[in-house]
Amino acid sequence: MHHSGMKMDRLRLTGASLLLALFVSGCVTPEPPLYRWGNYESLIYNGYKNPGSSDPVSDAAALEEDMARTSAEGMEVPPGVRIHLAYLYFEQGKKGEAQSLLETEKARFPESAVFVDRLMASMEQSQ
Amino acid sequence: MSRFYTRICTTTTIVASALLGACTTLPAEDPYVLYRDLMPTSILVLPPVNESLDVNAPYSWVTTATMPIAEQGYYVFPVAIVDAFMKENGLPNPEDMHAAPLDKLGEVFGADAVLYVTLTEFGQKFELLSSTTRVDAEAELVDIKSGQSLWKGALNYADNNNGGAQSGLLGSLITAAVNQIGATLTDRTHDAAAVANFQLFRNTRNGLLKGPRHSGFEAQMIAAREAAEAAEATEAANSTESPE
Repeated sequence: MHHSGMKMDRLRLTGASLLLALFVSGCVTPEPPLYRWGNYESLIYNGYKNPGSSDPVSDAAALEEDMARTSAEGMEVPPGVRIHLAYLYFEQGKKGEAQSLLETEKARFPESAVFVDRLMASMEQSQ
Repeated sequence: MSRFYTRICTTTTIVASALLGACTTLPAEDPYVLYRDLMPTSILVLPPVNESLDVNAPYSWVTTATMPIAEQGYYVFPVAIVDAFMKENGLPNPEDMHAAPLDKLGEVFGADAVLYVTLTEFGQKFELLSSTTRVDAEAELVDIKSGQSLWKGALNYADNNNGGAQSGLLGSLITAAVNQIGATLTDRTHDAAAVANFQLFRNTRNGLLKGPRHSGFEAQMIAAREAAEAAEATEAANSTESPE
C-alpha cells in the first residue's frame, strides 16, 4: 500500500514536471487535463511486465478506487477505463456489473458504441 | 565586463526568439489539409511492431500512448482489451494485427483512424562509462474508411541518463525533471517512452492536431479555415492583377 502510494506520487510528480517543462519552453500554455488518469496505464504495464503479479480481482479493486476518487474530485474517467474494468468483471463472472459499465462507456463516449455492442454480444454468447 | 554582459544578453535574446519562432513559423506547405478534412474522433492504437532488441518494448510503449492521445482530444480504445480481443480472434502478434484489413478493423471497433507504430530502438545501451536510453519509433495515423495517411511522425529520443538529452531544449528540460525524481533502472525506459510519446503526439509543430474533445479544437479549425480563405483571396488578387 505504502509502495503504491509512492509510485502514484512519483507519477503525479512526473506529470507535473512534464507540464512545467512544456510551459517553460513557451510552446504550450498549461490547460487543465481532460481526465484524471490514476493508475490505469501503470496497472496495465505491471500486468504485462509481471504476469503473475496481477489478477482480475486486485486490478478491478484498483480501478474501482481510481474511479471513486475521480468522481469525488469532479473529474472525468478517461476513455476505455470502464471497458477495461468491465472486462475484469466479466472474467470474475460479474456479468451485470460488466454490462452496466459498458452502457456507461457508450453513453459518455458514443465513439465506443460499435466495439461496446460487440463486447456485449460476445458476453451474451459465452454464458 | 560589460561587453561580456551584453554578449550574454544578446545570446539570450537570440535563443528566446528562436524558441518563439519555432512556435509561430508556418510551414510553406500545410501537411494537415487531409487530416483536417477527415478529422477522426476516435483512434485505435495497435500494439507496435517491435524491431528493437527489447522483447518488452511493445507493452512498455503501448502503456504510455493512451494518455497523450486522449488528452489531445481523441477517443482511444482500451489498449489491453484491444490486444486481448485481437489475440482471441486469431491475431497473436502485432505483425498480424498491423496486417489486418482496414474494413475489418472498422467493422469490429468502429474506429475512425488506426495508429500504426514500429519501434526501431528501445531501451538502454551501455557503454564504457555511461548508458543511453533510446526510444526510436515511426508512427502513422491512417483513416480507416479511405485508407489514406493522415499523419506521420518519427521519434528519435535519446536520454544519456545524466540529465542531458540529445533531443533539444524541451527534451532536456523534461528529462532533467524525470531524472530528478529518481527513476529506477528497470523503469527508466518506460519513463523515457512516456516523455517521448508526449513529445511525439502533443508537440505543436508536427504532433497530432487537437481532436474534437480538446477545448482548443474549434479555435484550431476556425484558424485553419481563415488561413485557407486568406490564401485563396491572395491568390485571386494576384491572378486578376497579373496580365494574361
